[in-house]
This record gives sequence, C-alpha cells and structure tokens, in this order.
Amino acid sequence: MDWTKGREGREGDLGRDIELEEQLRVLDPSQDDTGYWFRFRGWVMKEAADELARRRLAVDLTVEDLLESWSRTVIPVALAAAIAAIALMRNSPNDDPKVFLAVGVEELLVREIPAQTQPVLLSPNAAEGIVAFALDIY
Amino acid sequence: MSEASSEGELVRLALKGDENAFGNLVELYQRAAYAVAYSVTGRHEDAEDAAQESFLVALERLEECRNPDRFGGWLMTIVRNRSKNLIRRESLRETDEIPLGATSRSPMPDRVAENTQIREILEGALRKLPEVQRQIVLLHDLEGWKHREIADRLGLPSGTVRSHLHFARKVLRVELGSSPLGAEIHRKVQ
Repeated sequence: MDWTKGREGREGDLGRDIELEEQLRVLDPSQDDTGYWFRFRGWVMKEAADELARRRLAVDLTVEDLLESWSRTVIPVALAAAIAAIALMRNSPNDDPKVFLAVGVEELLVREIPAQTQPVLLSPNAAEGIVAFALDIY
Repeated sequence: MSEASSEGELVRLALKGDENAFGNLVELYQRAAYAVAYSVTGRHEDAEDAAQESFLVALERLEECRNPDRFGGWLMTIVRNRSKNLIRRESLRETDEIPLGATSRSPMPDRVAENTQIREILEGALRKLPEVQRQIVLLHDLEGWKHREIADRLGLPSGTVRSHLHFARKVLRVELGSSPLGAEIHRKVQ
C-alpha cells in the first residue's frame, strides 16, 4: 500500500508535518519487514475462511434462491403436468364411447355366470345350460 | 462509484461470503486498525493481535453494521473495544511471575536496534498523550487520513479533530526534541 495515499488535497487540515511523519514511520511494522501487511492480510483471511464459507452456504439456502432453483426444475415440470391434465380433461369420457362399450360387452358376457372351472364347462352336461349355449354361439 | 458506496458494496458482498470483498476491506483498513489499536495498547504485539481479531469480530457481526457505507467507523469502534479488552486481560496476566530470561532477545542488526530505540522514544512520547490524541495523530500523520475522514470514522466533530491534532503535535515535538535520539531523528530528517 502506498504511504502517500490520502495525503493529497487535505483542504482545511492543519497541513503536513513532514518531520513528525518521518519520526512516526518507525512505528510502521513494514519499516523493518516489507512483507508485513501482506502477511497481516493473509492471517486474517486464513482465520476468516470458515466464516466466509458459512456465509456463502447460508446465501445458497435463502428463500429467494430456493424459489429460483424451483423455477428452474419444479415449475417446468408442474407446467407440463398442468398442460397434460388440461388435455385429458378436454377429452371427456363421453367423447370415446368405444372404450366403455367394449367393457360393457365384456361385462355383459360374464354377468351372472356362476364361476365354473374349465372341466365343468366342457363336460357333456354343460350343453344344457344357457351359458354353454351362449359360448357356443359366440 | 464513490468511495463510500464502494465500501458499502464491499460490505454487502462480504455479507454473502465474498472472499475478495472482505480481503479488500482488510487491505483498506488494516493500517488504520493497527494504528488505532496501537494508540490504545502502546505495544506492537498487542496492537497486531487486537487489529487482526477485530477484523474477525467484524466479519462475524457484519449484520450489526447498520450502515455499510460507514464500515470504517464501525470497525474502528470494534478495534478500540478489543484493544481495551486486551489491555485489561494483559494487566491481569502481569501479576504472574515472569520467568527468568523470558525477556531476553536475540541480537538484532544495527538498523533494527536503532529503530527499536527510536520506537521506544516515540512510545514514551505517545504515552504522554490522551488516547484520543494518539489515535488522531497516528491516523493523520502516520496513515495520512484527512480531518474529515478521522472525524467521520471516530465519530468526532471536525473542529475537535483539528484541535486534538494541534495539541498532540505540540506535545510530541517537545518530547521528541528533548531526547538525544529525538534530536538525532530530527537531524536525519533534515
């Protein structure tokens, strides 16, 4: 750092006392050790590293940043889901009767038919029943 | 960008853990922090400890700096308080017995030895001043701060700073002029 820093333009000041300035310079630790202030800063920065890291971490977890990160991931997914839901709602069930018709026929075919095993159905007596008749026709 | 607003910006960035911003603040105020700490403690080692610790305390409590544009003044308050606490602790420790030979020093080069002598004279002269005058004379004549800056950072009226500086210089001139080494310094400067 420049020793003359801040010495210019001291309007209204008492002015410089060069002699006293020279004498006081002896108190500057960098007079006998040129790297003093560099090391001073280095020591402070080393000791401050944990606190600075903690602050960076805390900043990463602010509500603002959470919302920002959500805007990058959750919101597009939510939008896609909403669009898909709207598309599904527009295709109401009445618009596609075939699906329900197919189910209806299936239901119709098996409704009120007692559960019977394959050997029973294929037995000689089975032909007497309505179900067997229907199966034959089908 | 003005000096004040850039200082405020550095504080805001340091609040978020920006290493460069905090490093710049340290660089900006390390000399002044040392000078203020020295004006309170009167010893290099104590001033160094107090100034360095003050930066760490300032970082930990940065949220308490209500006006980031006035970080310097806020930091100087921390430095003064830390320095006073350090002296208090030191004075408690001084009651312990100092081991024999603990104060002996290794031989120093001539220049360092000479500087040490001059330093001792200066320290003696500075001790004659009230603390606030020591702070002002060191910030003004060692660090090159302006009256306005000192007044702003120490929370004093500008006229008071001028007056303190005037009296501090007067005392120092008398004290340094009356010692043989002070005369030697005077001769060197001439």
